[in-house]
Amino acid sequence: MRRLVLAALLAVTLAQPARAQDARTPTDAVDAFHRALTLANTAGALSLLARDLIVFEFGVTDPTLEQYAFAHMPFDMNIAAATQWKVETRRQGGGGDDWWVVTTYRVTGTDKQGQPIDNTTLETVLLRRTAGAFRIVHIHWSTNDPKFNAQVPGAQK
Amino acid sequence: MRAALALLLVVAFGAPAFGGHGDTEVPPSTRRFAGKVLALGAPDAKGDLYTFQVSVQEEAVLPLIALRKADAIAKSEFVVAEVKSWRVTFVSGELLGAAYHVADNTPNTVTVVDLYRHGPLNGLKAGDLFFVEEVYFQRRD
Repeated sequence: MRRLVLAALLAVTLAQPARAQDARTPTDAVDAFHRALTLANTAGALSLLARDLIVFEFGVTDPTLEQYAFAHMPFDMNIAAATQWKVETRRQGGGGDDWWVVTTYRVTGTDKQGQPIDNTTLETVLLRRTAGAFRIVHIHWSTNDPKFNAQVPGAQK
Repeated sequence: MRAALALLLVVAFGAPAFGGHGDTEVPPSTRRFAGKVLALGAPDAKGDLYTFQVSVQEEAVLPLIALRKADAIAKSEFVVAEVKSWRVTFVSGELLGAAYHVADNTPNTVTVVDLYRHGPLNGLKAGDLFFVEEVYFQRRD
């Protein structure tokens, strides 16, 4: 059933050409990015990221958009498709062309071994508005899951 | 060959990173190859480029993670027509974010059609990185 729903979502999304998405608000950009990851819309996700993107992901740095896109984004798409991300809290702030969105998600699902995934993931996103559309310039993800954190070299244990 | 590709990717990115969501093992959301442009094909009569030569690897994984992941498939070439009708998206270089429909492929070349309206591949360079994903183009009604 879940596969059918995902297939339907994919069909709807893929009917749209993979062109730049114009997020009019900071939270639109954040939500559209997660949606693009979930739907494996690679071009759509990239269109929401600024060229000077830097990502801190669970103790790891992706210093360029290219490195994030090639090295980690596929994992994030796999995770997004295999889990449900429910917004628990969200705040946004900023002004002019520079904004931030801070969100906590309850992430649930099942990993490849059939073990449950259930954690709180913390997300800080910095955004810049260019030509009327918001692009993500920084993402910082972390989690409260000690088991997950213990796997990450250099992360606090 | 697998080690050579891993080395190629290490060179492309410098020291590989670890961690991230990649530490949680989940099934791939879609079948996907990561690849690198090795050379450009011949332009068409208008001087536009739609073909390029590639080196590929099943699933996009960091080089050192790829070497220790049991399910990372060691291959550097496609099967003929293996990714025909899939979507290729460039993730570096001038065409970063541009997507194309794969018209056909040989073991080491990909020919695209501009169904996603990003224009020809002019601007593509050897060394640019891409994904080919099993995602099919659907026209708007």
